[in-house]
Amino acid sequence: MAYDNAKPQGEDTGEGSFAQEYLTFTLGPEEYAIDILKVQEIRGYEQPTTIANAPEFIKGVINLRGTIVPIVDLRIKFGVGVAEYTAFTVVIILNIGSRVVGIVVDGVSDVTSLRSDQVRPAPEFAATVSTHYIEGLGTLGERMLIVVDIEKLMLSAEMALVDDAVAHA
Amino acid sequence: MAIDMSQFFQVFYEETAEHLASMESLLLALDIANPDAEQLNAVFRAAHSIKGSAGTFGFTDLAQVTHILENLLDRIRKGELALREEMIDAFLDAGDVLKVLLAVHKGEGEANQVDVETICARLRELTTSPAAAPAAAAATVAAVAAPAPAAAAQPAAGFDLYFVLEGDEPAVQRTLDAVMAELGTYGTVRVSERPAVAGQPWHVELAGAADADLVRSVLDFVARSDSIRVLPLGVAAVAETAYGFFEPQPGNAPAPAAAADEAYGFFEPLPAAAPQAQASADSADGAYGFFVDPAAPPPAALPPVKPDDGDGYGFFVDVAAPAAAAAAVPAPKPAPPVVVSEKAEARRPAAAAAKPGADTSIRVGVEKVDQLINLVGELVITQAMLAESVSAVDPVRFERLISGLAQLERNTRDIQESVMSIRMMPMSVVFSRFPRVVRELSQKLGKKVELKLIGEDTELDKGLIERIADPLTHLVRNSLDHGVEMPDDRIAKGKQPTGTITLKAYHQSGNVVIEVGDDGAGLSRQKILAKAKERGLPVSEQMTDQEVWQLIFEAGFSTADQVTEVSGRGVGMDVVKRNIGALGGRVDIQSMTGIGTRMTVKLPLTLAILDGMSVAVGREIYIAPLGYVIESLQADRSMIKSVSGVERLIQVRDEYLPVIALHEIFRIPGAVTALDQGIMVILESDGVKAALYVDAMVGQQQVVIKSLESNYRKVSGISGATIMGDGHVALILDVPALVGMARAALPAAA
Repeated sequence: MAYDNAKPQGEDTGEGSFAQEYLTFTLGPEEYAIDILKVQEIRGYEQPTTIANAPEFIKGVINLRGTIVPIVDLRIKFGVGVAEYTAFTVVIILNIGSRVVGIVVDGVSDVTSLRSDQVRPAPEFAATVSTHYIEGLGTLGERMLIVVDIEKLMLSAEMALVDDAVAHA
Repeated sequence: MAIDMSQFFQVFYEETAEHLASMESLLLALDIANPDAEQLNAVFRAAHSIKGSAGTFGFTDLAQVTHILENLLDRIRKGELALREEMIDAFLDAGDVLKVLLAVHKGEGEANQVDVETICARLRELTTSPAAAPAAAAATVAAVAAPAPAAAAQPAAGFDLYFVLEGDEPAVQRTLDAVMAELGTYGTVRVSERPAVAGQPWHVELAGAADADLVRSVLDFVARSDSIRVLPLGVAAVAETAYGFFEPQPGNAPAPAAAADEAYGFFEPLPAAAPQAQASADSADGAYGFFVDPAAPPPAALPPVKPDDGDGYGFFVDVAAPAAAAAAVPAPKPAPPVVVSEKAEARRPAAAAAKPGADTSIRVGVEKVDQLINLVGELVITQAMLAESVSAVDPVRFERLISGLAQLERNTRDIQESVMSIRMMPMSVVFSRFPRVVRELSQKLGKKVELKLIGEDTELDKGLIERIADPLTHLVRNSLDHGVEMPDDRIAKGKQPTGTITLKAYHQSGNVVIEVGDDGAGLSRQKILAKAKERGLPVSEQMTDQEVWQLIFEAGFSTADQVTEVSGRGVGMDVVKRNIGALGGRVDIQSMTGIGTRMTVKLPLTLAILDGMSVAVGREIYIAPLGYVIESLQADRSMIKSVSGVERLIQVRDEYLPVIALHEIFRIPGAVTALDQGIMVILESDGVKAALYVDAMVGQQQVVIKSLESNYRKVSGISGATIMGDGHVALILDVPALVGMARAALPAAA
């Protein structure tokens, strides 16, 4: 289903020279878009092993074919939606630099192409997450996509996913 | 078809590095006053191999330096020059220069031409200065032979090459084609004689100016090395006529036939032809003795070998001697045979020594081994998963399945052990660098130090070996600089003027322990405390020695009275401790004033696998490394003591131990909180004991350590993660940190 939706969008981009593909997902009523190239895979949620004294949004670590992967619940981090875990809860496994991180979202919508002129810079506003990590706001008809620089966000000190040394590097 | 040399470059780099390393260690082991001939030969062989292969690959700068080095070594091992301390220094420096040159060829760093020139000049000077006398003597005695060596010393206009190619017909032809192509780069080549029978030598004529060594090294690659003969063009003819001269002599008839075969065989019949010379050779100590015997005429034949190089195998002597013999008396003739047989013998052990090593080991990239280790790790996990699923089935109905899985478990364990052992390397890899470090540093500091190495065979994971070298070097330098006193001070204290630094490695309960000990002045408690106060560190006179000694690992801490070139700037010890800590090891110090200091580095055997005890807290499973666990017990109400209203201590026999309640530290919900309900696991780290309070013990197993930090970050109290039999992740407890936390957490909890 996601693939079918993506196709007409891709045609809209015409030349496509400035178009980039994004994976869009929902958190509660909000739609987010992240660079598709950062996505490794999408899988179902499994109970992670909790890590002591970690922030609430870090659910713990899972075994992804022999690799220890931390799982972040973006719903808790962004303060949207209800953090409940059902058979339909989805984890997007991201490949960021040399790191592998999983994020829990409400649902994955589709893959969308956005031309650079379709993405407006985000105005400064107060949010649970600094607008620093929002690349812009994309428009697709009536829908507004919040385009997130997921790499910057995941490596930020705010996410507490990396040691300080790495975060500053 | 030219041989593509580039594919061998990597092998050359590795081999040359190995030769340099072995040369260095051999040099350092040499007893200068009374050098062991076999050791000298070994050093010579190492230099020779480097020269040979450097020449083959066209690294002329390397070949040049080694050539000069080899000449000097050759003279020393032949007893013509006495080994001197400065020679060893020069050799070591030459080794360094070669290392630099090698690095340059690898594309790392830059060559300093001045260094190269300097070392060459130094070696040449050492080679030539005392050599003038024998050379002059030789000139007079060898007057008759003079024309021949003169011709040999000039770059020959070409060579007659004899060599034996091994293998079946097509293989020989292929090799020959390659050789011809390669030789073709030096001049015109022509096969002048094909062997009638396999195993007989080929005769190839090479016309053109080329270095005999280069030509030889090309052949070295393909032909049986003991069969190779490189003769200046036209000389063979002379030699043949010369031999012909003696042919009618009794017992000598088969000689020319044998000559085609190999040099050794050729000369064997000769002593029979000259029994008088044979007798003198026998009476002397061997080949060497033969030459120094002033009564024997052969010295005439010896000198011509010298002006050329150590690689001549006495071929030019062949020329000189028969010529001389032809002109004078037959008596000097036995000289060349002795030279050749000595050479041949010197080479044979070399080949014999090299062979087993070459046959029994293969070079494999580390990443391949690591991949294998990772895969075996996965296999272990899969096997554990299977074992767990099968535990639920009916053992009677599935008997064969269960026994099959038991077999699998054994096999998996064996595979795991063998794979892990691939990565194991002996400590000598690290230790071998210290003789040089100690030698140079002690010279620089004017101290006399003897280095003792114990337990060099102790094996340790390669990853650890590589990363322990620097911290250990630092500890050794530190001992030498701060520990061992100046000779005068030592004598004043009634000690031997020569200090001792002992490096010792051994296994101890799943750890590798490396001790760096010295018999120097020891650490000064007062000095360290004073310095610590000066630096504003929280210290008190009540601190134990152990705690005081640990202060020297603080950043910027140095008690040296003055900063020296070696140490004293106070950087380093903190780095040492941090680096060793990063390897999962720790450093302990024992010291007695006036007696000495001993730094003990404890490292885990490997970084990849751990014997662990799994414990449950709430719904979580944690792994406690078994190495830290002393015992487990269920606490009795009476054993639990409270301090200021909080139950924080447990009395085990006659000790009071702090209780680390894991569910509190990690804030785990749903855990058993009453201290007499769960299990106390008594841990010991750094000589400090503590009781870890958990809900229950689950089992004991080997776990594969996975890094938590590669995708996440360091978590205090956790040293890593592992994957359990059911595929879930379990975290591995960082016991030293937890024990440390017990102390820090006490006031907070109260």
